[in-house]
Amino acid sequence: MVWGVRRIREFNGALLGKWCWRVLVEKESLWYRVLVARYGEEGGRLLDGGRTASAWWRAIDALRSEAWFGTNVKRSVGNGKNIYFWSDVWVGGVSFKERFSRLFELSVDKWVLVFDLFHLGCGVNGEAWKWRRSMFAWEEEQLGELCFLLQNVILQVDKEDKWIWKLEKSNAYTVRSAYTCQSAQLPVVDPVELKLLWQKIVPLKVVVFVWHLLRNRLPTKDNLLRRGILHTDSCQCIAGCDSMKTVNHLFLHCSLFGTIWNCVRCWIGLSIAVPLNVSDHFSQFYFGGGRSQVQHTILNVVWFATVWEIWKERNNRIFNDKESSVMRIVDKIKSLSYSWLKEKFQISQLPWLVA
Amino acid sequence: MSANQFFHGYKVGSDATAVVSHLQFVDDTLIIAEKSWANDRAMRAVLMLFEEIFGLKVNFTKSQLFAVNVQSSWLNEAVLVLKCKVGNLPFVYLGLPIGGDARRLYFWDPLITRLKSRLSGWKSKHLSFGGRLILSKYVLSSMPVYALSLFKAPSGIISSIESILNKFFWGGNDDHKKKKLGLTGILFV
Repeated sequence: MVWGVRRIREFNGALLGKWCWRVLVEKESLWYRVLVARYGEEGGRLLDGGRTASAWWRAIDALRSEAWFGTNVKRSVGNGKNIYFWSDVWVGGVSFKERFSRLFELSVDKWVLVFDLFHLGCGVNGEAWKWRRSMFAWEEEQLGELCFLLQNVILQVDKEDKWIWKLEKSNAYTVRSAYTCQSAQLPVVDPVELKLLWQKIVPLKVVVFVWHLLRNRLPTKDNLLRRGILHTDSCQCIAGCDSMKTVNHLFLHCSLFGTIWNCVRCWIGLSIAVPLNVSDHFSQFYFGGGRSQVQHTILNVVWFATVWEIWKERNNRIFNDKESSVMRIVDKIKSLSYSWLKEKFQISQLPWLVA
Repeated sequence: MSANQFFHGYKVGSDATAVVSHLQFVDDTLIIAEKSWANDRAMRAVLMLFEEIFGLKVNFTKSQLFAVNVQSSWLNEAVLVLKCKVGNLPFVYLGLPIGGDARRLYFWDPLITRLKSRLSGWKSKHLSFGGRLILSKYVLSSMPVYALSLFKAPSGIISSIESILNKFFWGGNDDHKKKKLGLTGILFV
Protein backbone atom coordinates (compact mmCIF):
# COMPACT_ATOMS: atom_id res chain seq x y z
CA MET A 1 0.00 0.00 0.00
CA VAL A 2 1.30 3.41 -0.86
CA TRP A 3 0.17 6.50 0.94
CA GLY A 4 0.67 10.14 0.53
CA VAL A 5 1.67 12.33 -2.32
CA ARG A 6 2.68 10.60 -5.53
CA ARG A 7 6.29 9.90 -6.28
CA ILE A 8 6.71 11.43 -9.69
CA ARG A 9 9.60 9.35 -10.93
CA GLU A 10 7.90 6.03 -10.21
CA PHE A 11 4.58 7.29 -11.49
CA ASN A 12 6.21 8.39 -14.72
CA GLY A 13 7.76 4.95 -15.04
CA ALA A 14 4.43 3.24 -14.46
CA LEU A 15 2.67 5.39 -17.04
CA LEU A 16 5.37 4.76 -19.61
CA GLY A 17 5.24 1.06 -18.77
CA LYS A 18 1.85 1.08 -20.41
CA TRP A 19 3.60 1.68 -23.70
CA CYS A 20 5.89 -1.29 -23.11
CA TRP A 21 2.81 -3.37 -22.44
CA ARG A 22 1.16 -2.14 -25.62
CA VAL A 23 4.26 -3.05 -27.58
CA LEU A 24 3.66 -6.62 -26.46
CA VAL A 25 -0.10 -6.77 -26.77
CA GLU A 26 -1.45 -4.41 -29.41
CA LYS A 27 0.33 -5.74 -32.43
CA GLU A 28 -2.47 -4.84 -34.82
CA SER A 29 -2.60 -1.16 -33.99
CA LEU A 30 -1.45 1.55 -36.35
CA TRP A 31 1.26 2.92 -34.17
CA TYR A 32 2.76 -0.52 -33.67
CA ARG A 33 2.93 -0.96 -37.42
CA VAL A 34 4.56 2.46 -37.64
CA LEU A 35 7.16 1.40 -35.08
CA VAL A 36 7.83 -1.84 -36.94
CA ALA A 37 8.28 0.07 -40.20
CA ARG A 38 10.62 2.51 -38.54
CA TYR A 39 12.74 0.25 -36.33
CA GLY A 40 12.14 -3.30 -37.51
CA GLU A 41 11.08 -6.38 -35.64
CA GLU A 42 12.98 -9.54 -34.81
CA GLY A 43 11.45 -12.56 -33.18
CA GLY A 44 8.27 -10.69 -32.26
CA ARG A 45 10.25 -8.01 -30.49
CA LEU A 46 10.80 -4.49 -31.74
CA LEU A 47 14.44 -3.59 -32.31
CA ASP A 48 16.00 -0.75 -30.38
CA GLY A 49 16.78 1.24 -33.52
CA GLY A 50 20.32 2.08 -32.49
CA ARG A 51 21.59 5.62 -32.34
CA THR A 52 19.16 7.06 -34.84
CA ALA A 53 16.11 6.11 -32.80
CA SER A 54 13.96 8.89 -31.43
CA ALA A 55 14.41 9.93 -27.82
CA TRP A 56 10.92 8.68 -27.05
CA TRP A 57 11.55 5.21 -28.36
CA ARG A 58 14.89 4.98 -26.58
CA ALA A 59 13.20 5.82 -23.29
CA ILE A 60 10.57 3.12 -23.85
CA ASP A 61 13.18 0.63 -24.94
CA ALA A 62 15.24 1.23 -21.82
CA LEU A 63 12.15 0.85 -19.68
CA ARG A 64 11.05 -2.50 -21.03
CA SER A 65 14.34 -4.09 -20.03
CA GLU A 66 14.09 -2.78 -16.48
CA ALA A 67 13.68 -5.40 -13.80
CA TRP A 68 10.28 -4.37 -12.49
CA PHE A 69 8.75 -4.71 -15.92
CA GLY A 70 10.60 -7.78 -17.12
CA THR A 71 9.90 -9.86 -14.04
CA ASN A 72 6.21 -9.10 -14.02
CA VAL A 73 5.28 -10.02 -17.57
CA LYS A 74 4.84 -13.67 -18.39
CA ARG A 75 3.93 -15.70 -21.45
CA SER A 76 0.84 -17.80 -21.31
CA VAL A 77 1.14 -20.58 -23.86
CA GLY A 78 -1.88 -21.22 -26.04
CA ASN A 79 -1.33 -22.73 -29.44
CA GLY A 80 2.28 -21.58 -29.61
CA LYS A 81 1.93 -19.84 -32.93
CA ASN A 82 3.31 -16.56 -31.66
CA ILE A 83 6.06 -17.86 -29.43
CA TYR A 84 9.60 -18.27 -30.59
CA PHE A 85 10.98 -21.43 -29.05
CA TRP A 86 14.49 -20.24 -28.24
CA SER A 87 14.31 -16.53 -27.61
CA ASP A 88 11.00 -16.10 -25.74
CA VAL A 89 10.60 -16.78 -22.07
CA TRP A 90 7.77 -19.30 -21.93
CA VAL A 91 8.80 -22.16 -19.65
CA GLY A 92 10.44 -21.25 -16.37
CA GLY A 93 12.03 -17.89 -15.72
CA VAL A 94 14.66 -17.82 -18.50
CA SER A 95 14.60 -18.34 -22.22
CA PHE A 96 15.92 -21.60 -23.63
CA LYS A 97 18.45 -19.56 -25.54
CA GLU A 98 20.16 -18.66 -22.28
CA ARG A 99 19.43 -21.85 -20.41
CA PHE A 100 20.65 -24.24 -23.11
CA SER A 101 23.00 -21.91 -24.92
CA ARG A 102 25.00 -24.74 -26.51
CA LEU A 103 21.89 -26.37 -27.97
CA PHE A 104 20.79 -22.99 -29.30
CA GLU A 105 24.10 -22.53 -31.05
CA LEU A 106 23.84 -25.97 -32.59
CA SER A 107 20.27 -25.64 -33.79
CA VAL A 108 19.70 -24.89 -37.47
CA ASP A 109 16.48 -22.91 -37.19
CA LYS A 110 16.97 -20.24 -34.55
CA TRP A 111 13.54 -18.68 -35.05
CA VAL A 112 11.44 -21.81 -34.88
CA LEU A 113 7.96 -21.35 -33.42
CA VAL A 114 6.77 -23.45 -30.52
CA PHE A 115 3.80 -24.58 -32.59
CA ASP A 116 5.92 -25.89 -35.46
CA LEU A 117 8.28 -27.62 -33.10
CA PHE A 118 5.52 -29.46 -31.31
CA HIS A 119 3.86 -30.26 -34.58
CA LEU A 120 6.96 -32.09 -35.79
CA GLY A 121 7.40 -33.92 -32.52
CA CYS A 122 9.96 -33.01 -29.96
CA GLY A 123 10.93 -36.19 -28.16
CA VAL A 124 14.64 -36.92 -27.80
CA ASN A 125 14.71 -38.40 -31.31
CA GLY A 126 11.94 -36.16 -32.62
CA GLU A 127 11.75 -34.76 -36.12
CA ALA A 128 11.81 -31.22 -34.82
CA TRP A 129 15.44 -31.12 -33.82
CA LYS A 130 17.81 -30.24 -36.59
CA TRP A 131 21.41 -29.79 -35.54
CA ARG A 132 24.39 -28.53 -37.44
CA ARG A 133 26.45 -31.53 -36.42
CA SER A 134 26.10 -34.71 -34.40
CA MET A 135 26.13 -34.14 -30.67
CA PHE A 136 28.57 -34.96 -27.89
CA ALA A 137 27.47 -36.96 -24.92
CA TRP A 138 27.02 -34.00 -22.60
CA GLU A 139 25.02 -32.18 -25.22
CA GLU A 140 22.77 -35.22 -25.51
CA GLU A 141 22.29 -34.96 -21.78
CA GLN A 142 21.22 -31.34 -22.12
CA LEU A 143 18.77 -32.28 -24.82
CA GLY A 144 17.34 -34.94 -22.53
CA GLU A 145 16.87 -32.33 -19.84
CA LEU A 146 15.18 -29.99 -22.32
CA CYS A 147 12.83 -32.73 -23.52
CA PHE A 148 11.97 -33.57 -19.95
CA LEU A 149 10.90 -29.96 -19.42
CA LEU A 150 8.82 -30.04 -22.58
CA GLN A 151 6.94 -33.18 -21.51
CA ASN A 152 4.85 -31.12 -19.14
CA VAL A 153 3.84 -28.60 -21.76
CA ILE A 154 0.58 -29.19 -23.57
CA LEU A 155 -0.44 -26.81 -26.32
CA GLN A 156 -4.06 -25.73 -26.47
CA VAL A 157 -4.96 -25.53 -30.10
CA ASP A 158 -7.99 -23.28 -29.79
CA LYS A 159 -6.34 -20.68 -27.57
CA GLU A 160 -4.16 -17.78 -28.60
CA ASP A 161 -0.88 -17.07 -26.89
CA LYS A 162 -1.20 -14.27 -24.41
CA TRP A 163 0.88 -11.99 -22.31
CA ILE A 164 0.17 -11.89 -18.61
CA TRP A 165 0.81 -9.06 -16.21
CA LYS A 166 1.39 -10.91 -12.98
CA LEU A 167 0.37 -8.15 -10.61
CA GLU A 168 -3.25 -7.97 -11.67
CA LYS A 169 -5.89 -10.64 -11.46
CA SER A 170 -7.26 -9.57 -14.81
CA ASN A 171 -3.81 -10.27 -16.32
CA ALA A 172 -3.79 -6.85 -17.96
CA TYR A 173 -1.36 -4.07 -17.21
CA THR A 174 -2.55 -1.34 -14.90
CA VAL A 175 -0.65 1.77 -14.02
CA ARG A 176 -1.73 1.44 -10.41
CA SER A 177 -0.18 -2.00 -9.95
CA ALA A 178 3.02 -0.97 -11.70
CA TYR A 179 3.27 2.12 -9.54
CA THR A 180 2.69 0.16 -6.34
CA CYS A 181 5.27 -2.40 -7.39
CA GLN A 182 7.90 0.25 -8.05
CA SER A 183 7.17 2.19 -4.91
CA ALA A 184 7.40 -0.95 -2.80
CA GLN A 185 11.05 -1.29 -3.72
CA LEU A 186 11.81 2.06 -2.17
CA PRO A 187 12.77 2.25 1.48
CA VAL A 188 9.56 2.82 3.35
CA VAL A 189 9.26 3.64 6.99
CA ASP A 190 8.30 0.57 8.92
CA PRO A 191 4.90 1.19 10.52
CA VAL A 192 5.78 -0.99 13.53
CA GLU A 193 8.80 1.15 14.14
CA LEU A 194 6.70 4.30 13.92
CA LYS A 195 4.29 3.00 16.53
CA LEU A 196 7.13 2.28 18.92
CA LEU A 197 8.75 5.58 18.24
CA TRP A 198 6.09 8.05 19.22
CA GLN A 199 6.04 7.41 22.95
CA LYS A 200 4.04 9.62 25.22
CA ILE A 201 6.19 8.95 28.26
CA VAL A 202 9.37 10.27 26.76
CA PRO A 203 9.79 14.03 26.20
CA LEU A 204 9.12 15.16 22.67
CA LYS A 205 12.63 16.47 22.05
CA VAL A 206 14.02 13.02 22.79
CA VAL A 207 11.54 11.37 20.46
CA VAL A 208 12.41 13.77 17.69
CA PHE A 209 16.07 13.07 18.33
CA VAL A 210 15.49 9.31 18.03
CA TRP A 211 13.47 9.88 14.90
CA HIS A 212 16.44 11.66 13.38
CA LEU A 213 18.69 8.89 14.61
CA LEU A 214 16.67 6.10 13.01
CA ARG A 215 16.61 7.98 9.72
CA ASN A 216 20.34 8.65 9.98
CA ARG A 217 19.83 12.40 9.87
CA LEU A 218 21.83 13.36 12.96
CA PRO A 219 24.79 15.66 12.47
CA THR A 220 27.34 12.94 13.09
CA LYS A 221 30.71 13.41 11.53
CA ASP A 222 30.13 11.23 8.52
CA ASN A 223 26.89 13.04 7.76
CA LEU A 224 28.59 16.40 8.14
CA LEU A 225 31.28 15.19 5.77
CA ARG A 226 28.65 14.20 3.25
CA ARG A 227 27.02 17.59 3.51
CA GLY A 228 30.39 19.19 2.84
CA ILE A 229 30.84 20.80 6.25
CA LEU A 230 33.80 18.82 7.57
CA HIS A 231 36.95 17.54 5.95
CA THR A 232 38.04 13.94 5.85
CA ASP A 233 40.89 14.40 8.31
CA SER A 234 38.60 15.44 11.17
CA CYS A 235 36.32 12.44 11.09
CA GLN A 236 37.74 10.35 13.90
CA CYS A 237 35.53 9.11 16.66
CA ILE A 238 35.60 11.25 19.77
CA ALA A 239 36.36 8.31 22.04
CA GLY A 240 39.69 7.84 20.29
CA CYS A 241 39.02 4.81 18.12
CA ASP A 242 40.40 4.95 14.63
CA SER A 243 37.23 4.15 12.77
CA MET A 244 34.99 6.62 11.03
CA LYS A 245 32.24 7.99 13.18
CA THR A 246 29.01 6.82 11.67
CA VAL A 247 25.75 6.59 13.54
CA ASN A 248 26.09 2.85 13.93
CA HIS A 249 29.61 3.16 15.22
CA LEU A 250 28.82 5.95 17.65
CA PHE A 251 25.74 4.38 19.16
CA LEU A 252 26.60 0.69 19.07
CA HIS A 253 30.12 -0.37 18.26
CA CYS A 254 32.39 2.29 19.65
CA SER A 255 34.70 0.93 22.35
CA LEU A 256 33.55 3.55 24.84
CA PHE A 257 29.84 3.76 24.13
CA GLY A 258 29.59 0.06 23.43
CA THR A 259 30.51 -0.62 27.06
CA ILE A 260 27.62 1.56 28.13
CA TRP A 261 25.30 -0.81 26.36
CA ASN A 262 26.93 -3.73 28.14
CA CYS A 263 26.33 -2.10 31.51
CA VAL A 264 22.73 -1.31 30.59
CA ARG A 265 22.13 -4.85 29.50
CA CYS A 266 23.61 -6.22 32.73
CA TRP A 267 21.43 -3.86 34.70
CA ILE A 268 18.16 -4.92 33.12
CA GLY A 269 19.24 -8.53 32.74
CA LEU A 270 19.00 -8.77 28.97
CA SER A 271 21.43 -10.77 26.92
CA ILE A 272 21.32 -10.16 23.20
CA ALA A 273 23.91 -9.87 20.48
CA VAL A 274 24.55 -6.42 19.07
CA PRO A 275 23.15 -6.09 15.56
CA LEU A 276 24.85 -4.09 12.87
CA ASN A 277 22.62 -1.07 12.66
CA VAL A 278 20.69 1.15 14.99
CA SER A 279 17.16 0.47 13.81
CA ASP A 280 17.64 -3.30 14.17
CA HIS A 281 18.97 -2.70 17.63
CA PHE A 282 15.94 -0.56 18.40
CA SER A 283 13.39 -3.20 17.47
CA GLN A 284 15.46 -6.03 18.92
CA PHE A 285 15.68 -4.28 22.22
CA TYR A 286 11.96 -3.83 22.20
CA PHE A 287 11.00 -7.38 21.35
CA GLY A 288 13.93 -9.21 22.90
CA GLY A 289 13.28 -8.29 26.47
CA GLY A 290 10.03 -9.54 27.83
CA ARG A 291 6.64 -10.85 27.13
CA SER A 292 4.23 -8.30 28.50
CA GLN A 293 3.35 -4.93 27.09
CA VAL A 294 4.66 -3.26 30.23
CA GLN A 295 8.06 -4.82 29.84
CA HIS A 296 8.16 -3.83 26.21
CA THR A 297 7.42 -0.23 27.02
CA ILE A 298 9.95 -0.11 29.82
CA LEU A 299 12.72 -1.47 27.64
CA ASN A 300 11.76 0.96 24.94
CA VAL A 301 12.06 3.86 27.34
CA VAL A 302 15.42 2.61 28.58
CA TRP A 303 16.61 2.50 25.00
CA PHE A 304 15.53 6.10 24.48
CA ALA A 305 17.32 7.15 27.66
CA THR A 306 20.50 5.39 26.66
CA VAL A 307 20.84 6.87 23.20
CA TRP A 308 19.90 10.28 24.55
CA GLU A 309 22.63 10.10 27.18
CA ILE A 310 25.16 8.85 24.67
CA TRP A 311 24.38 11.76 22.40
CA LYS A 312 24.65 14.23 25.26
CA GLU A 313 27.95 12.76 26.38
CA ARG A 314 29.28 12.92 22.84
CA ASN A 315 28.28 16.59 22.58
CA ASN A 316 29.81 17.36 25.97
CA ARG A 317 33.08 15.81 24.92
CA ILE A 318 33.25 17.63 21.64
CA PHE A 319 31.95 21.06 22.54
CA ASN A 320 32.45 21.46 26.29
CA ASP A 321 35.58 19.38 26.81
CA LYS A 322 33.92 17.55 29.67
CA GLU A 323 34.23 13.83 30.15
CA SER A 324 32.16 11.51 32.28
CA SER A 325 33.11 7.97 33.18
CA VAL A 326 31.06 5.04 31.92
CA MET A 327 29.63 4.36 35.38
CA ARG A 328 28.55 7.95 35.67
CA ILE A 329 26.73 7.81 32.34
CA VAL A 330 25.00 4.57 33.28
CA ASP A 331 23.83 6.15 36.51
CA LYS A 332 22.43 9.05 34.54
CA ILE A 333 20.61 6.64 32.26
CA LYS A 334 19.10 4.88 35.27
CA SER A 335 17.83 8.04 36.87
CA LEU A 336 16.58 9.45 33.59
CA SER A 337 14.59 6.37 32.66
CA TYR A 338 13.25 6.19 36.21
CA SER A 339 12.04 9.77 36.08
CA TRP A 340 10.30 9.12 32.77
CA LEU A 341 8.76 5.84 33.83
CA LYS A 342 7.50 6.86 37.23
CA GLU A 343 4.81 8.99 35.62
CA LYS A 344 3.08 5.98 34.21
CA PHE A 345 4.04 2.96 36.31
CA GLN A 346 3.97 2.11 40.00
CA ILE A 347 7.28 1.59 41.69
CA SER A 348 6.22 -1.98 42.45
CA GLN A 349 6.20 -2.70 38.74
CA LEU A 350 9.79 -1.64 38.43
CA PRO A 351 11.73 -3.43 41.14
CA TRP A 352 14.84 -3.90 39.04
CA LEU A 353 15.00 -0.21 38.30
CA VAL A 354 15.51 0.83 41.86
CA ALA A 355 17.96 -1.91 42.66
CA MET B 1 -7.98 10.11 -52.54
CA SER B 2 -5.13 7.97 -51.28
CA ALA B 3 -6.43 4.91 -53.08
CA ASN B 4 -6.57 6.75 -56.40
CA GLN B 5 -3.02 7.99 -56.02
CA PHE B 6 -4.03 11.63 -55.78
CA PHE B 7 -2.55 11.93 -52.36
CA HIS B 8 0.58 10.29 -50.99
CA GLY B 9 0.76 9.90 -47.23
CA TYR B 10 4.02 9.75 -45.34
CA LYS B 11 5.80 6.43 -45.70
CA VAL B 12 7.45 5.29 -42.49
CA GLY B 13 10.75 3.44 -42.55
CA SER B 14 13.01 2.49 -45.41
CA ASP B 15 10.78 -0.10 -47.08
CA ALA B 16 7.57 1.89 -46.56
CA THR B 17 5.45 -0.86 -45.01
CA ALA B 18 3.33 1.62 -43.07
CA VAL B 19 1.79 4.68 -44.65
CA VAL B 20 0.25 7.36 -42.46
CA SER B 21 -1.83 9.97 -44.23
CA HIS B 22 -3.88 11.49 -41.44
CA LEU B 23 -4.63 11.27 -37.73
CA GLN B 24 -7.94 12.43 -36.34
CA PHE B 25 -9.21 12.70 -32.84
CA VAL B 26 -12.38 14.63 -32.02
CA ASP B 27 -11.60 18.14 -33.21
CA ASP B 28 -7.91 17.86 -33.97
CA THR B 29 -6.87 16.67 -37.40
CA LEU B 30 -3.34 16.07 -38.50
CA ILE B 31 -2.61 15.43 -42.18
CA ILE B 32 0.81 14.04 -42.93
CA ALA B 33 2.21 13.89 -46.42
CA GLU B 34 5.37 13.93 -48.44
CA LYS B 35 6.59 17.15 -49.94
CA SER B 36 5.04 17.59 -53.38
CA TRP B 37 2.85 20.08 -55.20
CA ALA B 38 0.36 17.36 -55.99
CA ASN B 39 -0.12 16.64 -52.29
CA ASP B 40 -0.45 20.32 -51.53
CA ARG B 41 -3.24 20.76 -54.06
CA ALA B 42 -4.90 17.47 -53.12
CA MET B 43 -5.05 18.60 -49.50
CA ARG B 44 -6.73 21.83 -50.49
CA ALA B 45 -9.15 19.94 -52.73
CA VAL B 46 -10.07 17.44 -50.01
CA LEU B 47 -10.80 20.18 -47.53
CA MET B 48 -12.89 22.11 -50.02
CA LEU B 49 -14.85 18.97 -50.91
CA PHE B 50 -15.38 18.38 -47.19
CA GLU B 51 -16.89 21.86 -46.92
CA GLU B 52 -19.21 21.18 -49.83
CA ILE B 53 -20.35 17.74 -48.69
CA PHE B 54 -20.90 18.41 -44.98
CA GLY B 55 -21.73 22.06 -45.11
CA LEU B 56 -19.12 22.73 -42.43
CA LYS B 57 -16.55 25.46 -42.89
CA VAL B 58 -12.85 24.79 -42.52
CA ASN B 59 -11.14 27.79 -41.02
CA PHE B 60 -7.99 27.94 -43.09
CA THR B 61 -6.55 30.85 -41.16
CA LYS B 62 -6.57 28.74 -38.05
CA SER B 63 -4.85 25.83 -39.77
CA GLN B 64 -1.11 25.58 -39.89
CA LEU B 65 1.39 23.96 -42.20
CA PHE B 66 4.55 22.52 -40.69
CA ALA B 67 7.65 21.43 -42.51
CA VAL B 68 10.20 18.83 -41.50
CA ASN B 69 13.42 18.96 -43.53
CA VAL B 70 11.81 21.19 -46.16
CA GLN B 71 13.14 24.54 -47.35
CA SER B 72 11.24 27.51 -46.00
CA SER B 73 10.88 29.09 -49.47
CA TRP B 74 8.94 26.06 -50.66
CA LEU B 75 6.86 26.10 -47.51
CA ASN B 76 5.90 29.75 -48.04
CA GLU B 77 4.64 29.03 -51.54
CA ALA B 78 2.74 25.94 -50.39
CA VAL B 79 1.06 28.03 -47.73
CA LEU B 80 -0.22 30.41 -50.41
CA VAL B 81 -1.96 27.54 -52.18
CA LEU B 82 -3.52 26.22 -48.98
CA LYS B 83 -4.33 29.71 -47.66
CA CYS B 84 -3.24 28.74 -44.17
CA LYS B 85 -0.45 29.84 -41.83
CA VAL B 86 3.15 28.71 -41.42
CA GLY B 87 3.66 26.88 -38.13
CA ASN B 88 6.78 26.29 -36.13
CA LEU B 89 7.81 23.11 -34.36
CA PRO B 90 7.07 22.12 -31.66
CA PHE B 91 3.30 22.49 -31.99
CA VAL B 92 0.55 21.25 -29.77
CA TYR B 93 -1.55 18.30 -30.91
CA LEU B 94 -4.12 16.90 -28.46
CA GLY B 95 -2.59 18.97 -25.72
CA LEU B 96 0.91 17.60 -26.05
CA PRO B 97 3.84 19.29 -27.75
CA ILE B 98 4.90 17.48 -30.92
CA GLY B 99 8.38 17.73 -32.31
CA GLY B 100 10.12 18.97 -29.17
CA ASP B 101 12.81 17.20 -27.22
CA ALA B 102 11.50 15.87 -23.92
CA ARG B 103 15.03 15.58 -22.57
CA ARG B 104 15.43 19.36 -22.55
CA LEU B 105 14.27 21.30 -19.55
CA TYR B 106 12.58 24.09 -21.52
CA PHE B 107 10.29 21.48 -23.08
CA TRP B 108 8.59 21.19 -19.69
CA ASP B 109 8.30 24.92 -19.03
CA PRO B 110 4.55 25.19 -19.77
CA LEU B 111 3.82 22.37 -17.35
CA ILE B 112 5.94 23.89 -14.60
CA THR B 113 4.30 27.27 -15.10
CA ARG B 114 0.85 25.76 -14.79
CA LEU B 115 1.85 23.91 -11.62
CA LYS B 116 3.27 27.09 -10.14
CA SER B 117 0.17 29.11 -10.86
CA ARG B 118 -2.01 26.40 -9.34
CA LEU B 119 0.12 26.11 -6.23
CA SER B 120 0.88 29.75 -5.74
CA GLY B 121 2.09 31.23 -2.49
CA TRP B 122 -1.05 33.14 -1.56
CA LYS B 123 -3.06 29.95 -1.62
CA SER B 124 -0.55 28.30 0.63
CA LYS B 125 -0.95 31.10 3.14
CA HIS B 126 -4.72 30.86 3.34
CA LEU B 127 -5.16 27.11 3.48
CA SER B 128 -4.94 24.70 6.36
CA PHE B 129 -2.39 21.91 6.56
CA GLY B 130 -4.91 19.38 5.33
CA GLY B 131 -6.13 21.70 2.60
CA ARG B 132 -2.61 22.17 1.31
CA LEU B 133 -2.08 18.42 1.31
CA ILE B 134 -5.29 17.81 -0.62
CA LEU B 135 -4.51 20.55 -3.12
CA SER B 136 -0.99 19.35 -3.79
CA LYS B 137 -2.18 15.75 -4.11
CA TYR B 138 -4.92 16.72 -6.49
CA VAL B 139 -2.62 18.85 -8.59
CA LEU B 140 -0.04 16.10 -8.74
CA SER B 141 -2.52 13.41 -9.57
CA SER B 142 -4.02 15.30 -12.47
CA MET B 143 -1.95 18.02 -14.02
CA PRO B 144 1.31 16.42 -15.09
CA VAL B 145 -0.14 12.96 -15.70
CA TYR B 146 -0.97 13.48 -19.35
CA ALA B 147 2.49 14.69 -20.21
CA LEU B 148 4.12 12.04 -18.05
CA SER B 149 2.19 9.27 -19.76
CA LEU B 150 3.98 9.94 -23.01
CA PHE B 151 7.30 11.53 -22.14
CA LYS B 152 9.98 10.48 -19.72
CA ALA B 153 10.66 13.42 -17.46
CA PRO B 154 14.31 14.30 -16.87
CA SER B 155 15.35 14.14 -13.23
CA GLY B 156 15.79 17.91 -13.13
CA ILE B 157 12.10 18.30 -13.86
CA ILE B 158 11.09 15.68 -11.33
CA SER B 159 13.05 17.43 -8.60
CA SER B 160 11.69 20.83 -9.54
CA ILE B 161 8.11 19.55 -9.43
CA GLU B 162 8.85 18.07 -6.04
CA SER B 163 10.38 21.28 -4.82
CA ILE B 164 7.35 23.31 -5.94
CA LEU B 165 5.15 20.93 -4.00
CA ASN B 166 7.34 21.00 -0.91
CA LYS B 167 7.51 24.76 -0.91
CA PHE B 168 3.78 25.00 -1.26
CA PHE B 169 3.16 22.41 1.40
CA TRP B 170 5.46 23.87 4.02
CA GLY B 171 4.54 27.43 3.18
CA GLY B 172 6.72 30.21 1.94
CA ASN B 173 7.66 31.15 -1.58
CA ASP B 174 10.77 31.75 -3.56
CA ASP B 175 12.04 34.90 -1.86
CA HIS B 176 11.07 33.99 1.65
CA LYS B 177 12.26 30.62 2.86
CA LYS B 178 10.53 29.24 5.87
CA LYS B 179 12.34 26.83 8.07
CA LYS B 180 11.23 23.34 7.29
CA LEU B 181 11.24 20.21 9.37
CA GLY B 182 14.42 18.22 9.14
CA LEU B 183 13.18 15.98 6.40
CA THR B 184 11.28 17.18 3.39
CA GLY B 185 10.92 13.50 2.65
CA ILE B 186 8.26 12.98 5.28
CA LEU B 187 5.77 14.42 2.86
CA PHE B 188 6.17 11.19 0.95
CA VAL B 189 6.00 8.84 3.89
